[in-house]
Amino acid sequence: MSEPTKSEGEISCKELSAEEAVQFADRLVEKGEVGQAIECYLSVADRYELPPADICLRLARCYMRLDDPAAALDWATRVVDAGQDYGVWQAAALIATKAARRLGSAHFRQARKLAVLSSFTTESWVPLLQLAALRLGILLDVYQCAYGQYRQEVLNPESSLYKFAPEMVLIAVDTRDLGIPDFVQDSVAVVDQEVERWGGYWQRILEELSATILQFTFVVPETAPFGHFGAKLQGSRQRVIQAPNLRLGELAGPKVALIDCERLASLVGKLRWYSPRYWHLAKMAVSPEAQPLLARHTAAVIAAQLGLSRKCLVLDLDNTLWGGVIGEDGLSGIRLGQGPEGEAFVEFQEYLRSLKERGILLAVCSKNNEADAREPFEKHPEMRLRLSDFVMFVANWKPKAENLREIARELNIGLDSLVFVDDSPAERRAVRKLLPEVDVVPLPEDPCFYVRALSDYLLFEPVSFTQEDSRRTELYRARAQLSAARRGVESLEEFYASLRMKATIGPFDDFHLPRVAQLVGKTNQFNLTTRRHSLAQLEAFARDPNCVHFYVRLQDCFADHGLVGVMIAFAKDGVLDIDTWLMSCRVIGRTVEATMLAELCRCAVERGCHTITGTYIPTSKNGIVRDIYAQFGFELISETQGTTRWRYDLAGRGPIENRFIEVEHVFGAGNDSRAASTANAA
Amino acid sequence: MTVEQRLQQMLRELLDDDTVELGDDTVAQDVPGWDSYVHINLMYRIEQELGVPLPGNKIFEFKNFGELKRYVIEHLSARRTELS
Repeated sequence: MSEPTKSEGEISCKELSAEEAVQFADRLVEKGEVGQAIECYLSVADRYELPPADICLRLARCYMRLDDPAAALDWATRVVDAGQDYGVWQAAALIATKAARRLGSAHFRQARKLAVLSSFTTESWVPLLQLAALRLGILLDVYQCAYGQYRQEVLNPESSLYKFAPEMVLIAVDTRDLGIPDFVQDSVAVVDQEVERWGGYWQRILEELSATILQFTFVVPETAPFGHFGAKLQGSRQRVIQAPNLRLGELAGPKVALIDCERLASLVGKLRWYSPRYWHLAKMAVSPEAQPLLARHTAAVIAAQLGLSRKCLVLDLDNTLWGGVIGEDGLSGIRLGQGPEGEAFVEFQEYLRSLKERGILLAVCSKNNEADAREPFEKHPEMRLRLSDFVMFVANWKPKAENLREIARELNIGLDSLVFVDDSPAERRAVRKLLPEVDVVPLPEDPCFYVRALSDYLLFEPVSFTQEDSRRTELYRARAQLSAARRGVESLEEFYASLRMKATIGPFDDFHLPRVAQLVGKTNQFNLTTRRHSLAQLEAFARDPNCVHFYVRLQDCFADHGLVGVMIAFAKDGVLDIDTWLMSCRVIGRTVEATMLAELCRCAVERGCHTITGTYIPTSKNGIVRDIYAQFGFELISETQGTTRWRYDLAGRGPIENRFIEVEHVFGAGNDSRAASTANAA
Repeated sequence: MTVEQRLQQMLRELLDDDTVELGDDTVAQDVPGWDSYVHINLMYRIEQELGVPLPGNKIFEFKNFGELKRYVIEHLSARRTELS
C-alpha cells in the first residue's frame, strides 16, 4: 500500500484491488481529502452491478461531509438494494433521513405523514422504514405512539394521533395483542371478538381521519404447545391465530391495506423472524435481522397505496425467456421445455403470464431480427407466452435504452412505470446508467432462480384486483397499435366503450396553435396530405372566414392524451374541401377519426355545404390512411400517381357519426385568450 | 484496525457522528444520543460482525466502555486459542 501523501494524483485507485482501494480511500477521508476519497470509492463502486452496502455507506457519508445532501441521499438509499444487513441499514437510515430533511419535501415524488401505532418498540425499525421509503422517492414524516399506547391513541379523539392528522396510519401489532392462550374453549367467540375489536379501531380512525390504514397480520408463533396435534385441535393457538387474519382480510375495504407479516415470517423462517432475546431485552417483536425485510415490504405497500406501483415489465428474449440465442441456435436449438434449464424457462414464462393476468403489462425489448424473435412465439410448442400476451414487441438492433423510451412513449406511461428484466449484466448496467427512472431486476445466472428474483421485486404490488386488470393488456395493446389480434366486432365495441373516451373540440386559438403547428410539422403516419403549414400560415387560416379548422383533445379512463387531432378544410360553393387531416399516432385505432369526420359534417351543415371532398397524397409513412376515405363512404373521383381525390355526398348519405366518444365543444376559451394576448400586445 | 477502533467506528456509525471519542472510562450518558436503542444496536453489531456473544442482559452490565472492550478482546483471543 502506498501512503496517500506520496500518491495523491499519482496512484490511480483503478489499479488497486477493491479492498486496497477502499483502505486507501478510508485514509484519504481521515486526512480530510474527501473529494479524492469519493473518486476512489466511485471507482470501486463502478466495478459492481450493485455496489456493496459498505461502499454506498462510505460514499453517502463523504457526500454529507461535502454538503451535498442529494448525492448523500442517493448513495444511502442504494443500501436498500445492496443487502439486508441491519447494522448497515441503521447507519444508512441516519444519513438518509438527515439528508432528506435538508433537501425538503419538494425533492421527493411524494411526502406523507405516517402515524405508527404499536404494541412493541418501533424506534429502531421506523428509521429503516423511512430509508426504504426514501429509496422509492417517498418522504415519510412519522409520528410514533408511545410503547403499548395504541388503544388510547385510537379511542381518544383528543389524542396526539389525531392532532398529528396523518395521511396513513400503520397499526404495527403483534400476535401477543390478540391475547389468545395456548388453548381456547370457544374459539369462534374469541375470534369474533378480536375481529370486532380491530375492525372497530379501523372505523374510529377512518371517522376521525381521511387516512389509509395499514395493518400487520398476526404471525403464528414458532412454538406449538400442542405440537402436530394442534393442527387438528379446534381451539389450539396455532389454529385460532390464523382466523383473524382471514377475517380481517375480508373486512378490509379499500381504505385498509394488510401487510402480511405471517407470510414474511414464513419467508425468512420464524426462528429468524422473531428472537426472544430482543423481545425480552428491548421489546422488539421482529428480530433485527428481519427488520430490513419488513421495512422494504411495508414501503412497497405504502408506495402501492400512493399509486407508485410499476405498470409494465419489459423483457429480453435470448437467455431470459429461453436458453440460447434464437438467431444463432435456431428454433430447434433453443432450450425450452426439456431438461432442467428448459423447464426453468417454462416456469418463468408461466410466472410472467400470471403477472400479466393480474394486470401487469408485458413488453419485449430484444436485440434480434424481428422475424427471428417472433418465430418461437409462433412455432415453438413449449412456449407459454404468446405474442398476444405482449402490449409491445420491439426487436431490433437499437440501444435498449432508446427502445425503452419508445415503449414508454407508445404506451403513454412514464419511464418510472417500467421494470426491465434482462440476463445480460451489461444491458442492465447500461439501462441503470442511462435511464435511472427504470427499475432493473438483477437476474441471477441460474434460470432456476429467475422466478424468485422477480417475485422479490416488490413494486408490482396491486391495491385492487378487478376484471379490468386482467384485460389491461388488451386495452393497452390497442393503444400501442398492436391491433392485429383483435377479437370479434362485439368485443371491440365493448373495448371502445370501456375506455369512456371524451373528446374536446374547438377552433384553433392562441393557446392551442403551437401544439397544432407541432403536429402539422411532425405527424407522418395518420396524415392525409402531409402539408407542413407554418405557424404563420395556420394563424392566417384561423382568421380566414372560409376556413373550417378545429383541434381535438382526447381523454379516456386512463389518461388525458392532450391535443391529438387537427382538421383544416375550406368551404367554397357548397363544397367543403379537406386541406389537412391528421392525428397523433398514439390514438390511432380509437375511433377518433370518426369523431373528426362527424365534427366536419356538422360544420359543413352549419355552412350549408352539401358535399365534402378530400385528398390522399401518399408518402413512405402514411400507408395506414390510404383507404380511410373509402371506409367512411367517400367515393373515389380521381387518381393521379397515387394521389387520390374523394367525395362524400353529405346530403344523400347523411352526417357521419361516432357513438364511442362523447364530444364537448369549446368556443369561448380560445377567443378569450386571443383577446388577452391582443390586449397584452397593445 | 484495533478492537477499540472497531467498536468506536460502530458507535460513530450508529450515531452518525464522526467526532465520538471513547476512552476506557466513558459511559453511555457521556455521549449524546447513546440511548438504549443505540445500545441494543451496538450489541447486535458486536455479535454479528465480531462474532462475540453477549448473552442475556450482558450488554447492560458493563460499567464503562473499558469493560466492554476488555470483554470483547478476551473473547476474541480465547476463540483464537481454541482454533489453534
